[in-house]
Amino acid sequence: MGRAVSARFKPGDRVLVKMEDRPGHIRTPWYVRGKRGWIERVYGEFRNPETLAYGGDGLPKRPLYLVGFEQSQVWNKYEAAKDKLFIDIYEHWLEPA
Amino acid sequence: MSDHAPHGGSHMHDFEAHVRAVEEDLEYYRAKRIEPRVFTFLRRGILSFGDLFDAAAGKPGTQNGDGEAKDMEQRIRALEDSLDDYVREIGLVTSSVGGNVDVVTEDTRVERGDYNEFFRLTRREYRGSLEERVAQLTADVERNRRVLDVLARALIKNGVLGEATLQKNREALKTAGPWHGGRIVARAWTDSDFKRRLVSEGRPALRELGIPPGRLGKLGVLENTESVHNVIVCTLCSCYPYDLLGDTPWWYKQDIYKKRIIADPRAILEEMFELKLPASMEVRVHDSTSDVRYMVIPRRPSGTDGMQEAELAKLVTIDSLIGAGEATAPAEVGHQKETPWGHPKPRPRDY
Repeated sequence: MGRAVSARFKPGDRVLVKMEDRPGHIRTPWYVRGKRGWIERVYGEFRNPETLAYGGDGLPKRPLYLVGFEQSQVWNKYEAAKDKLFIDIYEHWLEPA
Repeated sequence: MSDHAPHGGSHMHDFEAHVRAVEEDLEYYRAKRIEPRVFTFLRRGILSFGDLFDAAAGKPGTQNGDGEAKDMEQRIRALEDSLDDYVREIGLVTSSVGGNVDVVTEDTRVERGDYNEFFRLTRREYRGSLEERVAQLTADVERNRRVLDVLARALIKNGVLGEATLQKNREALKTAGPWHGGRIVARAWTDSDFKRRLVSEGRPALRELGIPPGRLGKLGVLENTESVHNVIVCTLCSCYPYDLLGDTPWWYKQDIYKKRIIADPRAILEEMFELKLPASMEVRVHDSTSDVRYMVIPRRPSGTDGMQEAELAKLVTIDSLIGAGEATAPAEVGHQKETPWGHPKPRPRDY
């Protein structure tokens, strides 16, 4: 039950943040849902805060990634082409892009 | 006037900004941290109003009127120090509650109205002259500390909080604080192997400095260079390595900071922190949304060759640990200008 799953993505993989709307203790900010980025780093596995916050055990653990985005892809009018945004996102919020 | 202020002798230039920061912090801790928690305890039957009144009756209020004539700067410093003590005590009490009491993050969020305006505690507005606001804030910090003290006593009485645990945690806390940030950065500036370990491993590398690695998850360390500038935010709440670096500056928890730093970092850094980044530099915003807490290693200022670690550590400001400022140049120590939001006060009390 509490066994961890292994990481599905590796650094460099292109990913899409799922466009989902559901209530609860969600750690994926709205402004990156539906946006494309890449895996910058694999942080390992952590208890899932979406259930932990309600008194659950947060198991099974979920892989957590540092995901990079080009700012110009996140915001319509972002000028500085090189600027980036990095966010920690759990695997169940990501799909291959 | 006083040159023995514990902050490298830097003077306060903008009383208004300091007082406003205290107002923001105090309200945040009262309305978001402590009072909603009290409601949870009451609802669960962990405490009753009777318990709280009993605990309050057991101890008369402290009188802090030391009658000593102080100038405005000294009064504001004293207020900030008292607020710091309050904040530390909150961390201490809330982290020491244990046993079979199961109060989780979401309870506090619900109770303080994150999801429903109905629950939101009315924000207190401070009005009047600076003098009046400082007097009111000084009284309010004391009153809030008393609420916390009464809460702790009632929890001890009900066996929810152990005095031994409290004492143990109090000792551990004495060594935590923002000045750790200065020590960490100074070591990273002078020891590239340490820096490499710090950036790749995070907390475990801190043992080399005798700093307790803390409990709050993984530590992400971001190095600012000539070509890359990192800045940190937590848009969903206020994640920050508190246990390691102490409390954040007040603006870190403001919605306006959160909103603008993700979408227009260059503009807000320039307007609010007077930090203008060249177009050639890449700006990286890190939104700390989950289990990783971040700190920034600011660039080492020029003119610091040959300086000792302890001296270098004093150049590190709270803002620079977040990426909202640069480390102070040696020539500017004691003359730092205050920016609209900038908070040059590093509070390195233990040097």
